[in-house]
Amino acid sequence: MKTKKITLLGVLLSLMLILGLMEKQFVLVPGVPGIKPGLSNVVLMYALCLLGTKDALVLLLMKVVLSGLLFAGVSGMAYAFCGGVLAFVTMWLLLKTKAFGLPGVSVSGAVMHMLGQILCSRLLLGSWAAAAQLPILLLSAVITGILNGVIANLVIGAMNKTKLFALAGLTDKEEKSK
Amino acid sequence: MFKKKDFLLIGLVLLLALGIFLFQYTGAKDTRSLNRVRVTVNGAFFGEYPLDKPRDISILQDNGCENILRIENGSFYMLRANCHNQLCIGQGEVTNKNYPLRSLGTHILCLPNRVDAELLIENTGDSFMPDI
Repeated sequence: MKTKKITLLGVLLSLMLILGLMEKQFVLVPGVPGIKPGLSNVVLMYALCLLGTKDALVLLLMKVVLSGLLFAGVSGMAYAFCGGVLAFVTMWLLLKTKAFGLPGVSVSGAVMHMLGQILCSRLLLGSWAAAAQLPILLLSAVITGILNGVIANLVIGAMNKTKLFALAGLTDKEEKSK
Repeated sequence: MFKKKDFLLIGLVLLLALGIFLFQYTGAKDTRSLNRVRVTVNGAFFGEYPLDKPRDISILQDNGCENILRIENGSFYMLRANCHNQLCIGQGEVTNKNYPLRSLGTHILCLPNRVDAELLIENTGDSFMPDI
């Protein structure tokens, strides 16, 4: 792995952690646990589209472990892992089909992230209680998913234009998301 | 940016959300509260308490997790919890009337401490089992 790439991954990872920390500072919908914008998914999609699957997976796993150690605790880490891996696999598959735009990919990621956490709560809690709020969680996954997809699209478009990473020889795939 | 299938996917998810909501809401209308709360810790039964007697229930676990559930005026809510996110306190109270429209229904959940408080209800509508 080139030094430049390691540096870039480090920057992206800290960006994800900071976005995650910011989201913890306020409650989006009072009374409904678990609704957050999920902005770090923008960074993840950026990595999936421009850097490659392996690097994106490394980013995700590092984010889960570090954010668990720093903020969320062990059970938080388990939830983030279940949701994150399920969302990652889904987004990766949908990107491969090339039939979906980034907003669609992002929405599917948000939905699967939520489903993964509900499955995790089934395992840890021993009941389907968390599934009671599926409707509002699905609705919020659509809203935040579309927002993140649009943002990711804009960011990736702008980053492609700069040719910064292409010059540095960091991109595996170019112009993928246009 | 958007492709055709994106809208299809988003529409499907929204339809699913609406479907589940209607299913839950019509299901909840055919129920009646039993005026009792059941507390489950780590998936195991912890206790069952009537809602007409005000009291605080301390839920202490060996791993240091602490929750206090308060029962008053026919309702219950999480008074205190030593978990990191305090979401269970934000979930508000469950009463005999408000559960069909709460996002978590009959439950108050503390995921970090694995505590679940559930209002017990019974089905009053037509039974799902067909008469033979």
